[in-house]
Amino acid sequence: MKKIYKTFFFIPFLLTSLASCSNNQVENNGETIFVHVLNAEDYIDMTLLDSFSQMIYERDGKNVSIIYDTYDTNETMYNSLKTGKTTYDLICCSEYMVQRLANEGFLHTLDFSKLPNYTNYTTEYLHSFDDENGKLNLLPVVNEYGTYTLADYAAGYMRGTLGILFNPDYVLTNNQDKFDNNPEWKNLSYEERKEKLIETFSSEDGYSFLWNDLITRTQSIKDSMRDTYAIGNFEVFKDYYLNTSDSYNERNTKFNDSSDETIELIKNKLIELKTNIFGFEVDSGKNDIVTQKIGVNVAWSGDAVNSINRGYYADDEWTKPREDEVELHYAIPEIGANVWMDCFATPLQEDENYYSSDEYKYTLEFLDFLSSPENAIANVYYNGYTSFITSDSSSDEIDNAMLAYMLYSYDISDGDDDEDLSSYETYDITPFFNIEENVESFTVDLSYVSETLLGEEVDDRVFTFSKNEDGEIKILIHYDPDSFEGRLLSAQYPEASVTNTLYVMNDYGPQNDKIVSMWEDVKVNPLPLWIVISLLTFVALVLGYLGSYKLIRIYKLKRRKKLRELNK
Amino acid sequence: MRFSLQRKQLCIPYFIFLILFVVIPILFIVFYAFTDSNGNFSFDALVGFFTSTNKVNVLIQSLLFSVINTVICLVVGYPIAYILASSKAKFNYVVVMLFVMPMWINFVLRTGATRDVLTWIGLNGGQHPYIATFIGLFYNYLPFVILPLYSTMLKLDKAQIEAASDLGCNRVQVFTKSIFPQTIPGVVSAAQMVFMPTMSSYVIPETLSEGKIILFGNSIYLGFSNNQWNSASFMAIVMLAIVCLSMLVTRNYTEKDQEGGSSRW
Amino acid sequence: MVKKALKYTFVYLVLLITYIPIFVLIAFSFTNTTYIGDWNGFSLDLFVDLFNSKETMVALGNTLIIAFISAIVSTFLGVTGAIGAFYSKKRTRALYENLNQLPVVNPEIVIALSLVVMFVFLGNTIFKENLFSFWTLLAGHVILSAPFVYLNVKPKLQQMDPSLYEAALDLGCSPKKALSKVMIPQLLPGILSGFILAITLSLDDFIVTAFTRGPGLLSGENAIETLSTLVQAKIKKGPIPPELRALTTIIFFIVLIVVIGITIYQNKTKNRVKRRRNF
Repeated sequence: MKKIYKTFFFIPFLLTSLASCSNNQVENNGETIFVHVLNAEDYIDMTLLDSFSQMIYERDGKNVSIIYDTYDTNETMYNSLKTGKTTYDLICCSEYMVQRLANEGFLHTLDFSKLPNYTNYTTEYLHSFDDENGKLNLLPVVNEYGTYTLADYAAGYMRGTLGILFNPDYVLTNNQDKFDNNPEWKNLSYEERKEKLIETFSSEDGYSFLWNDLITRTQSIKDSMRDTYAIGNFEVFKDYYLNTSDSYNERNTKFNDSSDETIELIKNKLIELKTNIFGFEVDSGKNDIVTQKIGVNVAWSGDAVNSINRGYYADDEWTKPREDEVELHYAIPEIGANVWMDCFATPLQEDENYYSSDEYKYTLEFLDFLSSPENAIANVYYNGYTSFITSDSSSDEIDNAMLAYMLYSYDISDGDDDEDLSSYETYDITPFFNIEENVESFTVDLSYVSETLLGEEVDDRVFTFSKNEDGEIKILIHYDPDSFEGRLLSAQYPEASVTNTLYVMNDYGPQNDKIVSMWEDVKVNPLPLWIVISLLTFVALVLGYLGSYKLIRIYKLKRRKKLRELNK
Repeated sequence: MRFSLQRKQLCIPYFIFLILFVVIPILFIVFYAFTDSNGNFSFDALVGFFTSTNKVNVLIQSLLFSVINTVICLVVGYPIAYILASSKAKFNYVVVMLFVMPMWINFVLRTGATRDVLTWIGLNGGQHPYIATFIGLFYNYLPFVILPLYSTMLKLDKAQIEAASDLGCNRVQVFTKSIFPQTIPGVVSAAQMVFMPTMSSYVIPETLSEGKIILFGNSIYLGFSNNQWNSASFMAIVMLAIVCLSMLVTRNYTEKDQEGGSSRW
Repeated sequence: MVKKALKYTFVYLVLLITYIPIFVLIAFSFTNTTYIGDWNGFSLDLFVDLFNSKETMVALGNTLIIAFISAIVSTFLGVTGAIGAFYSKKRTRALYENLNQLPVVNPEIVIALSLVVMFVFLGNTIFKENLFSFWTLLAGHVILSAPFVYLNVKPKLQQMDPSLYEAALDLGCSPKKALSKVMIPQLLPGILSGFILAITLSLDDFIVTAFTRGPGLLSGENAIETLSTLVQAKIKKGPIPPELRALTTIIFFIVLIVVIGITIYQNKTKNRVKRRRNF
């Protein structure tokens, strides 16, 4: 029995040693500075975390360790920030969430003077929502500290769209009977059907097709109320978006409509949609569509890029194409789509000394590290979204790295002088880069990206862009829209023509609770009335039976007692 | 002065622990359930719960799921326990252990495996959310039914059963008049092991129905993760109330069992 | 005879059905494919992958550490609590019984929610810092398992001969010694089964872990990852990762050996412990 006592004696010792062991590992080389980062899942090339620590150690001789946590939706992130389970130095979330957090006074404004890479390489995209006063009118921030723009608080990381990712072959073969019996589709050959399907998803009926029983139970939608609410909005106000001559701002207001009547309308639409879907997901859809568990997925553009890649390649390193390609397409319906911007922001810390501490210093340093073109490329390569880090119209190879990477990845012309470029279709990606107006021409050399970043030898390729007849510099990529590369390109960089129908989602403010409750309504399965009634009757009967049983017993016991007393 | 150890003082640490980590947290939940987000006393959560069709709906649906799952598990588990307990073969104990063994394999892992296998054979949660969820619930809770039933049935009074059949009962009557009444404590504790956990289960419906089925546990989780602490707390209180109710209803039957000298486990 | 065979067919059929998912995982742990259903020839690669997968090993380590520590703590609390309650006055004992019953019947999600709410509140108002750590997780796991240790020890106390302890005191033992030399040995089967039960409950838990965990243990500055939380995060994204199939196989065979061991042990000690129900 002594052993047991010994074990008990041992516990406190064991516990203290365990609690301290996590710190002990790294304290060998002086103090370790921990930078806590919170980001969405699958969003960053994790090797960058180590290379950052490595870089700082070599430069400053300090141990910096990035503690990287992930969340699945903005709402759960908001909750974990509020519960204060962990305090973070740097968070990454969508624009509306930055707006909400900033409005609630949770954030500290960013000091852009400490972010040289970011200020140097970022796009103007975040500012494109400014009105003439230089304040963001679509995403205003008003809190106890004053009136700000979102761009005071946030450094853009990635942006992307919410569109529809689909596998035409899966949809057509799995639901063949339905297509065979549908008057619109039955007389078409397989190839025609496929073409029509691809067209339908990018047409004005793209979202409506999700409700169509032709694709019942082959599609999954986002288990995230705001994204799905946006889809509902497009369906409810379809006529408005098709016929309106309103300005972009007015349409954007419509997109953010969260009045009670709209919520009710959207709720009913989404309940209808729910009966038609395979399931709700946030993280598994990009995988399920490759494994052909589902055929249609409402997807974020980066996930779509990832899935298209995985459908094409057999291995995880993306080098060996599959023999049987899973051909995936990504479409943004003509009617419009949600565009979101994920930004880095720094939570406000109560401790004044924090802002002179090493934690804060290295937090900003890490943010800036991610904003250097080569790291931005690594992240884009990893997650498939559109980076805020961009190239400009100089000919410097680092300044141009992002563009060089794009051309390297997507341009299919082989660079020979005698090549007939007119046989290719062209794709305009000018809006994604900063082109100064007074520049006549600039040249992009691929060698830096291919050799330094990707470690691959490519034939010498130099692209020169110069002004066209209209006096504008256009960056055109030669591509084949149906090819694998073409599908990737249009997913990652939405065409210039659709940017006018990409809408930004605002924080719903006080209506947020109503939308949460709408979302619960959508997710809960309504019960048929007869089940409710019969269940209630059943429960009442059981309770009645048990109750009366007990009452009778009590009565009997009492009577027995009385009888006994009487007998005495 | 020498501290003399009295046996009853031994329970002080456990008592303090229970107060600190069981009673006080429940008081916190009660506090949150009856306040609004600013910390003022209010009945918002209560009114919100009973006026919201979806929350009541989830409650009813979860009750329905629990009832059905309990019945399925009992219908399958009862004969198994009876067969295994009625013959004297030593090997039967091993079979019971085999039924219980999956419980040692991580439950989330088992649930994931169930989903993957169901998907593989074409019974995926997207197309058949109800079937998939019930299969998952059945897999998980069957052992909880077999164990208490088996140990109750080991204690069956064989003489009484024989007497019943000697006195002219037919097989059905032997079962209804002698065997079943004797096993009621086992049935009740088995039902308890299944009923409430089914209602509050989170992982199983979430994973197996591809997010299409929401039970009370998921609903609480959803409310909590959307920062609606007050309504989530109120739902927790409702859950607690149902627990207490079911304890009250079944108390008469389980007491016998406990006095018999063995715990429910 | 036919009827008997029919009965047993039913039993074994159900048994087989309940084992299908596990057997499929085990079968596909011996091939190197991403998805179950694809068979790519026999290979032990997944077992190698498993031991090379740092996150799985960290999660496994955390799970075991938490299981053992929480089992030790809850055994201590449960045993002392049960002894103390047993020798208390009737009314106090009833209070203990009811208090102990509370976490037993309380759904896990309510326990988890109540703990989080309390820790957040205390962290924001009194301690002014984030409380979530290994300790909060430990508290959560101990709540889950201590009541069951208590319930396992209680029947043994009822069966115990009360005069032995008195005899030990009369023969000159100090109360402490009487406790360790006389009472604990008699309660040992109950304590052991309670201990095993506590480990099982802790190994299996997801909800309480997910709610109450904080940074610590092998996860260092990151939130403690246990097997449950790791697998849940993985299966949310897609199928069970291949190396976890190998893990399932290993766990299964360990459990099988333990079960066989227990059966042999129990056959040796005859039917004395047959009525004990531990799982």
